[in-house]
Amino acid sequence: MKHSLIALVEDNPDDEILTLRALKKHGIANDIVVLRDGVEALAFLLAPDQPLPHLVLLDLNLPRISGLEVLQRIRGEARTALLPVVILTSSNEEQDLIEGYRLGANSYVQKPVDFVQFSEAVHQLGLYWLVLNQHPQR
Amino acid sequence: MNILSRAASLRWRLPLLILMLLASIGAAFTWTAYLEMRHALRRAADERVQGAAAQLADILAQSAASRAAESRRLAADAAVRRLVFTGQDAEAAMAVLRAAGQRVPEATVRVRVRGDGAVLRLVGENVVLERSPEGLDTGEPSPVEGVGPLRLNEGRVSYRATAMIQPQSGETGTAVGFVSIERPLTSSSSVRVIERLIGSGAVLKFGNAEGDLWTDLSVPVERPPVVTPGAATVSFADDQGTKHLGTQVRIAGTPWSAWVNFQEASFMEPAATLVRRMLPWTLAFILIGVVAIGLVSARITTPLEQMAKAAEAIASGDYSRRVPVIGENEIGRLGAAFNVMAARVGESRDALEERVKARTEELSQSREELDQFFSMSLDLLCIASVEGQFTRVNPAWEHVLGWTSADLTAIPYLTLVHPEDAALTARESEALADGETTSMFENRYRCRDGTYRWLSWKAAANLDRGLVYAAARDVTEEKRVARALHQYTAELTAANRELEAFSYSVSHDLRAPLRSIDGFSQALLEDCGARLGSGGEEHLRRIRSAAQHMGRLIDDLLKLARVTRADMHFETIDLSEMARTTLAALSEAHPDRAVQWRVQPGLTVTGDARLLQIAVTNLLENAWKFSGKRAQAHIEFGIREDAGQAPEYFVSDDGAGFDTAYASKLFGAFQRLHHSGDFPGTGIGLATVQRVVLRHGGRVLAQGAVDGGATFSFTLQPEPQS
Repeated sequence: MKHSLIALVEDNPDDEILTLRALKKHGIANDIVVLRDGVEALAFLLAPDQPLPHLVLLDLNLPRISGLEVLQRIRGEARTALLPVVILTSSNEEQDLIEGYRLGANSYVQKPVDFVQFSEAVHQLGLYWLVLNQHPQR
Repeated sequence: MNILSRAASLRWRLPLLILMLLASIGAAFTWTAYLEMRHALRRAADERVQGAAAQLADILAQSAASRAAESRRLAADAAVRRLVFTGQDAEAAMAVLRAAGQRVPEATVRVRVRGDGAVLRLVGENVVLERSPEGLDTGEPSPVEGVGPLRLNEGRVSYRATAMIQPQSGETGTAVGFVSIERPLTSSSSVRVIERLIGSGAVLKFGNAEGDLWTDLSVPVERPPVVTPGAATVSFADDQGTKHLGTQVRIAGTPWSAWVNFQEASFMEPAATLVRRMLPWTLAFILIGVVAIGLVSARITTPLEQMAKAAEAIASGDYSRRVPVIGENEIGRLGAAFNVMAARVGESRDALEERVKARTEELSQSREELDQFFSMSLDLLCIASVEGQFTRVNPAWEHVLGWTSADLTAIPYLTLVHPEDAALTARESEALADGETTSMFENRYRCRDGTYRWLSWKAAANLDRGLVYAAARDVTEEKRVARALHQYTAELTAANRELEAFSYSVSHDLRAPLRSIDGFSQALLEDCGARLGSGGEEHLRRIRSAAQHMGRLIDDLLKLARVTRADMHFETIDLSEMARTTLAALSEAHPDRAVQWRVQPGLTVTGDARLLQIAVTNLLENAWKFSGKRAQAHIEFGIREDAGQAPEYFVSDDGAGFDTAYASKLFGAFQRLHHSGDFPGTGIGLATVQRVVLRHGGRVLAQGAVDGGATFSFTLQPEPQS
């Protein structure tokens, strides 16, 4: 796997640990930057001096600025408009799904309760987005 | 009664007219005959008069002529001439003269000679012989040869017939003398003779044509009153007024004219006689004619009279009157037709009366019904003037508002309207008066007890009558209910929104901790599994299982909530296709299972696609799950249609089935009839199915037997009302 930067936007510390564990387990142990709310996320992603991640794993249920709003904002900036964003959330509400895609998410994955499944999902995601998928910024 | 007036009976008019006709004919005839007769008589009379005059003239002419001839004879007589020229033989001459004188009674023969010598005047009986030395003129008018005019001589009318004694032959010169015979006209015998010849009743005269002396052959008389030209007859009246017919004729050879006149009456009498004779016959004829006509006309007028009377009787209501039909002529036909007509009139009148009776009954019935309707109606019915006054109200007003009819008709209705609604009500009344109709207009009316009630109005005006016809419904309750409904709807909407928020938060907030529990348990298992030992591993596995189960519960609950909340979009859905797809997916997901499934094709319904998919999926997954113990399972999806009922769709399996004793619990949320060890599940699936079906207006049914399979069926529309 190429050396990639993953941005994980997640406010729940448990989910953070579990996600990182899953990434590590499947060898997607690239650089991972964890952003704990919408404000941090925007500050990082939109900062011109910060490196652009290769993949953003975005939780929706964030304090202060919600995930969807973050998405909307970064899609609004030329720099981050084409950034691959995978929404990774507990919700399977139709509303969130539609809104997510509408605002320009590349993918929407529901976090299963079962950790084994969760781990597998993360593996698949990493595999796909960091290895298989082509991206213009590469 | 004026027989000639228009109102007079035909019975009398007809004969009268015939009478008048006949009378006029008779009179005309008689008159014409009379006139004709008179004309003829007149002509005859004319002839007669003229004839008589001519006769008279002839007679007189003859008489005069004979005198004149006599005088000429005497003038030429030898003896006379001897005497005249020689003066001798006077005796002989005298004898001749005397003889001549005797022949004519009362005549005077006069001979006068011119000559010298002594006057010889011989006067004998009627003879005068004179010799006048002076000449022939002796103061008397000169003699004229021929017949002289009449002259009055010593009270008697006479004339002279004169003949000149001519000189001897060979001598020229004037007459030597003359012989004249003077004839007095006194003899009445000649009158009688003439009368006999001419006929009695005539008035005879003759006289000088140029003079005034006239005689009736005996005495002088007046000259005739008229001088007729030529010989025409003339009609004249005398002093007494009697009509005469006369004529005057010149008597030839004399200077006279003769006159004859008759009394008209004498010769017109036949005409009068004719009329006198004819009149009775004419009258008789007329009378007979009238009687005959009267009889005949009676044959006409009597039936007509009968018909007239019968018609009057019928007109006044006696429809049974008929006329006797006599004969086959027009009268008879008329009579027959009249009878037929009378019969028809009677029939139709009877029929009409029946109809009128029936109609009146209908009318009074419907009247009653309408009255009943008006008074029984629970709606407030009223009639009001366009000016705003009730004219009639039904009892409902008293029941609902407490006002009596007397109360309501006494005041303008606007006074009972709630002050806030008064202006709008007034405007609506105006619109009504302009011809618009009111429907669903609401206002508040004050009740007797001071409270207000809401009324919903429907009204229309009859502009010709100036009346408004209105019906009001007491909608106070409805309004209250509507308000409550509104409130409940608001609450429901609020509740729904809360539920939505709740679901949303559940999606996120409840799942996360479960993930942690599961995740860290797994982490513990992986990292420290060996140290924990099999017991510890088993605990962790149970922890993980519980967390995952809770996750599933949350998912199902969310699904159920979504089914409850979701808007339904109805469209035509191929249920068969849906079932097929679902079963195919199940087969693919569980290749180890041997399931024979069958879907009845062509099942289309109208419903919400997503909800139906959830229901179908739930039912088929259940069937799949509960037939898991069968080596060869059979699942069927189909339809059962009974006449008069909504079509039933079913999913049947030959799996574990269920105990029908607990069937009532099947559709409750979280209710499970099997141990989770046997068949895992949350117990929400069927509740979800029920929720979907209920939202489509249908119902669910379950049939099963323990270890005997189960059939779950549902309808998607309400049962048709029977």
